[in-house]
Amino acid sequence: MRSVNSPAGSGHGGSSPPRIQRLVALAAAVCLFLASIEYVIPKPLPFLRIGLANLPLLLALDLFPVSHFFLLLGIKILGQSLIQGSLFSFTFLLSLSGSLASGLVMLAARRLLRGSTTLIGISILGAMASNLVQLTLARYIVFGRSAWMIAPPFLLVGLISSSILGYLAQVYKERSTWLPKMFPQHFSE
Amino acid sequence: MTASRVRIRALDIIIFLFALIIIGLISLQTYARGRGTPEITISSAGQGTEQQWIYPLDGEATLRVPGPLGETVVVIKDGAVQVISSPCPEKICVKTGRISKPGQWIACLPNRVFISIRGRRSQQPDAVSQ
Repeated sequence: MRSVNSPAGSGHGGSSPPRIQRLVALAAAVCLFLASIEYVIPKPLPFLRIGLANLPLLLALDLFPVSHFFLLLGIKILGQSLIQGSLFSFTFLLSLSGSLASGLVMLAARRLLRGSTTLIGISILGAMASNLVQLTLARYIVFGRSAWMIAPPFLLVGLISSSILGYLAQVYKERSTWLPKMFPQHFSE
Repeated sequence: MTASRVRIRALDIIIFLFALIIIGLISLQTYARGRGTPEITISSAGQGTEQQWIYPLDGEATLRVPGPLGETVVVIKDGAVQVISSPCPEKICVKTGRISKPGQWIACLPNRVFISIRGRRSQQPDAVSQ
């Protein structure tokens, strides 16, 4: 049986499960595509990252229910590690904890500061959370105190790249004609 | 909806500055800690007892260090140490001039005064052969 579901018909909590799942899959595919793009961009140091794959996550903050946001986050963490070939190394541990921290912080910040920031501020908070958690782990698990020697450039690059990413996400959110069609309940004005 | 530009909110800028301040604090803590000021150790064996003084290299002081022959005058200024006068016959300590790097030393053997700079090893090589 096929339910004829007009986009406007799917209300706040009551959107049909297959539809939201398809959107999660689509967002995850975009995440992994961006992760591949990021992977082929040469980087002077392995820890200096752009974080392109976080773009769909920023948009998902407002559009997906919390459970589906974390589903997307999990797929992104696993898929990105597969692409980078770091699934079974300590890098995965860093990536996992960093992504989880950033996801939690962004979600909390978005809920608490609803409307008083753009995605730029949210993106910066997420990047800082992720980078600080990764540095702390690197200090205690892998590298010892010298891990903090790379902290300032690492954090600075994160701040700049996350600001740019946040800006891009915000622009996309405001100008996209596709998003309002997919998520009419979030674009009611 | 014809939003031509993203309207950045005040809180965005506050978050950005807040992050910048945190990065600044971490950099200060990371890079300042390792680079402690070198110390000057001055020891003398005047009047039958060994004495030792420690001064920071970035301070300013004029010290009269007592020794068996009299007072050796040591000046700490502009990140360097120098003996400007000493009651010894050869004045080797005065001729040594200013020292400013960890590992360097000035000795006045007749007056039994020894001055050395201790601290983190400098990044420069001891000597270069050409």
